[in-house]
Amino acid sequence: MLQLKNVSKSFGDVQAVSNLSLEIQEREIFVLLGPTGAGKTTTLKIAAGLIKPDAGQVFISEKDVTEIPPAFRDISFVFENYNLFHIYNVYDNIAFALRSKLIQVDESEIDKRVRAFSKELHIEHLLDRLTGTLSGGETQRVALARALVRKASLNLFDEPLSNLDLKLREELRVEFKELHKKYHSTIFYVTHDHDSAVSVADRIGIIYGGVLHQIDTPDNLIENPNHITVATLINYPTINIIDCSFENHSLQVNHQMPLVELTSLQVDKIRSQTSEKEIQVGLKLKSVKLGKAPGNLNFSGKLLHTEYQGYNKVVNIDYEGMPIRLITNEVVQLDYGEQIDFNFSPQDIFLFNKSSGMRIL
Amino acid sequence: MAQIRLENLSKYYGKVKAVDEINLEIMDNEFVVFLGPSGCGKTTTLRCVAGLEAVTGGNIYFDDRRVNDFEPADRNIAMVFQHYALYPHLKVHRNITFPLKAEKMPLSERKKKVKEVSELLGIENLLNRRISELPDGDKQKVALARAIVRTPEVLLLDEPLSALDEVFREQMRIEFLKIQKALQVTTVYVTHDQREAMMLADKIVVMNDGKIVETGNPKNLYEEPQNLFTGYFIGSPGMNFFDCRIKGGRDVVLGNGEDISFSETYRQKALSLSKVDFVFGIRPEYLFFKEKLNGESNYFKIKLVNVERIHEINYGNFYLGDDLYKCFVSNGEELGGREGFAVFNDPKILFYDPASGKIL
Repeated sequence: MLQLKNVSKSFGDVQAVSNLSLEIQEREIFVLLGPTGAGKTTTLKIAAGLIKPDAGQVFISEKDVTEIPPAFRDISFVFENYNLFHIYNVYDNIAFALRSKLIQVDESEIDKRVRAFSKELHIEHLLDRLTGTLSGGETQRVALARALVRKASLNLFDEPLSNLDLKLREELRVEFKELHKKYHSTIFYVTHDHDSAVSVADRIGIIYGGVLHQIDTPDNLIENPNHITVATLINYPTINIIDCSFENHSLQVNHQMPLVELTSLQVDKIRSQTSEKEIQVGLKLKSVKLGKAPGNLNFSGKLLHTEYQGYNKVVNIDYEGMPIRLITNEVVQLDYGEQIDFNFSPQDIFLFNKSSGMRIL
Repeated sequence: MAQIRLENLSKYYGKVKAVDEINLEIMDNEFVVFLGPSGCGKTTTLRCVAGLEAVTGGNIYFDDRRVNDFEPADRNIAMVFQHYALYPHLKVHRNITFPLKAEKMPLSERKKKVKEVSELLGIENLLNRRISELPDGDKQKVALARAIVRTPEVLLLDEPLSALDEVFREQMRIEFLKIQKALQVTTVYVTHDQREAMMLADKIVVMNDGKIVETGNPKNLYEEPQNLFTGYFIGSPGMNFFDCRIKGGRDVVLGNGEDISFSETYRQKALSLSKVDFVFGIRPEYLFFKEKLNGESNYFKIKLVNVERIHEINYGNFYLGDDLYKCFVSNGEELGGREGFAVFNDPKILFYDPASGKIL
């Protein structure tokens, strides 16, 4: 459906997007997830034709549209700040794009579509209101209706839910998925909000520093990250990262405390990938267990704090000056500073090359 | 170290009651988080404590000193803002020593202090960098270092992480926690982010419309909110609240008229608490989707819209009327669209008064 082939864009000295390729399938919700400044919006604008890439090509429905202006790409766009026309009422805002000379839609069809989508998005009662008088959630719904009513072959969404409070975001996420199921639109969605991303996406691309690191389903990214940035951004709460040095067949903390004894297979794998000694160990919170367990690696630290995050509790442990966190639904009956045992399986660790961030194991 | 006591504290802007007669005690070394939506009065309260706003009514005490008329500089407080307020052209160490120079502390002592706090925050290697060269997370660490370098009695933080992305925010929260525990300083922290509050606070003060809705530790506020607002605001996803009516003085039905089945004990309890209507609240993890009943006595009929997988937990979404609710489901996405029952576990139901929002 949409294909970006080796696109790059820099603004002055800043390389906003570098050599990025991705392909979005028909009817897919594809989410680009990354922090502010990662290059998400630039990538989206390249797809829209609002920014011309320095290099690379953009294809929509297998047609090279790199040189084609946005109006002729059969796309719709929802911006973070909505860009509604406050001098018009809700109805006219939603109908606006359908009345463009480029799209030949007659008024009765426009009316039908505007009413159908306002019903879907629960804004029928607002059609006569000026958009400037709406609440944040209502404004967002109008912006979504205006984009979807066009039934464009590709919908581009830039942080469509970020300005809403948490509860509204949760509600709109569900409606969004339902609408998608019904209308089968193809959606390219960029956000820095982890929960929205994993909740709406069929596939997620993780972008950081203008580099697209990995594309996969949310579950696969969690299970099999190829880069430390992917592991950090896809897990919430984020993964434990432990700086280690690789010495004498073991990974050591602070150059003295052995963390993991490595098998010769693991040693070979590390040697084949890097000559450096600095290795970062990634350890998911759910891989760390409370107490002692035979067969696992057992440690003892000091309890810092238990976060009551609802169903799950996140236990923060100070291990030799290093924070280790684990997630559990058990209740921890210990106070600050008391000794707490934890363990994990050597099978559950990820190893990353410290300088490149690439996954070793 | 200081205790803080707010006594009938009010702050009005014209007719707007930004803070409306609040009473609160903050213990020595306690980490207190003011939590609420924007406009609830949390930042105004903090600014009153700091002395940046004159109060309209009431008293503020630090230990037993009434500080209403003290200038901010005389309150021995330190403050960190969302937007750092650092000197971008100066190097990190000069930003940190700024308040010490103002106090005319000798150079050798200043150096020692900077070393201490920068080690605590893990920014030793940044001391000679300019602020303008640092990423946002590090800037906030420097702002925090500058705040604590004077060893204030009270540390005040106003949405210090809201300008950061989620992943940096999480890392910074861990830093805050470590530092607050290590320094043992009375801390007041303002945020609209309930996760942040749940992670950091010894005590959360939930605010809405200029008033304190409820005060408690994270566990109690989560397990047994005394108010509908707290249940709604704390927890992600939040608590489910179902409107119920009592029909013919005997039977309980859902707000939309559909049947709900309560065990006899719970039906009696509901009837003893209310004659007309009530709201019952339950967290998603205590409400389970089942396609077939197996002798349960607490349930009502639902149709799942879809299944959402968040933080590796499967939540089933369903509607009653226009309102969206969440329950736990055992299987995956294939359950979307299925009809069945929402079954709940007795001990976790809470009853509320729909008019006042208070627990019954």
